[in-house]
Amino acid sequence: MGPELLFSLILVGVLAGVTGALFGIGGGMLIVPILVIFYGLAAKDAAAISLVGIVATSVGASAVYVDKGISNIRLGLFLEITTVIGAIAGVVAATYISNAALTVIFSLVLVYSGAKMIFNPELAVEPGDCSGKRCFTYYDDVQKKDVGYQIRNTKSGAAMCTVAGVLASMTGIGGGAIKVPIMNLHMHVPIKAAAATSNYMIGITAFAGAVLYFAMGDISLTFAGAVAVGGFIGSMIGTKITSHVDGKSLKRYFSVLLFFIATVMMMDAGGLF
Amino acid sequence: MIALGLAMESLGMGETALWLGILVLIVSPMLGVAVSMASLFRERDLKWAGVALLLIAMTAVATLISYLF
Repeated sequence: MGPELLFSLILVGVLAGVTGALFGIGGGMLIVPILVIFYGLAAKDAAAISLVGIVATSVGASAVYVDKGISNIRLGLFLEITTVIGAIAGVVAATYISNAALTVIFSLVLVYSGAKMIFNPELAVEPGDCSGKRCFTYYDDVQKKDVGYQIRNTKSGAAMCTVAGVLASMTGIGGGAIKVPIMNLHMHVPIKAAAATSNYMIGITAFAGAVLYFAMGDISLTFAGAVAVGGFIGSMIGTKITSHVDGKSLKRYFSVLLFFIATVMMMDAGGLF
Repeated sequence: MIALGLAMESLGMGETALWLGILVLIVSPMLGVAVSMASLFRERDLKWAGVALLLIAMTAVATLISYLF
């Protein structure tokens, strides 16, 4: 692999890593189209490389966020169980349901979520009032104080994550893009904590697919390695940026990203990838 | 290890390092869950340690089902 190709792939990884660490998505929505359109890879090969990149982003970002206490590990473990249930169901359902129709539905959900995130304020709890098992706090670097939040709608949130798991496994993308809005809008987790928790979760979600591709020898090691290195670097940069961006702005940027993802998914459903 | 593998790849020697590095990377999230489980167990938070164990088991099942399909 020539140095230009290596450097460009690392840059792709960095871009995905920054986005992933900031917003709690895996970056696959960026990696797959770029690899298919600009590098001429088959979609399956791009997806395999993307999963490795997602794991790298997750590992890098969650190392920082877990250490800072922003990631809610207990919530992440709980929601990931329901997501895995959904993913199992999705693998089975994929043989019966049209992928294109599902992609369009998923895109519309993302557009709706993006619009809601722009207008919905966050429900914070004063850290002094934060007691009880569903109340958590984290230190916000921008506000320079502890931010408290009370998790609500746990059961319905878990059910929605099951649906998210079905959609994600059937469309191959969008785990974080749907789980962050669920946590933020429905379960009242602040956007930074939701994104950080999602970063913890997406590595686990990507693990199953990545390990299968790896075991079957379907991953291009050099491509995946370059994207992974970039993803890790990008995740470190993304975590630094997070400490300088306030939650309200982050929600707005996330909404724009959701609209972008919805557009890419519509293009995918239309057969452009 | 991955970076080393990439650097050595241009000399035609990096494949083993790349293979090992990517393997370690891929299993890292589940190792993290296992560490979380051990930590929760040590804190005597058996409920959440059980949740972590259940997640590991279900991920193994999901991987197997994905392989079979």
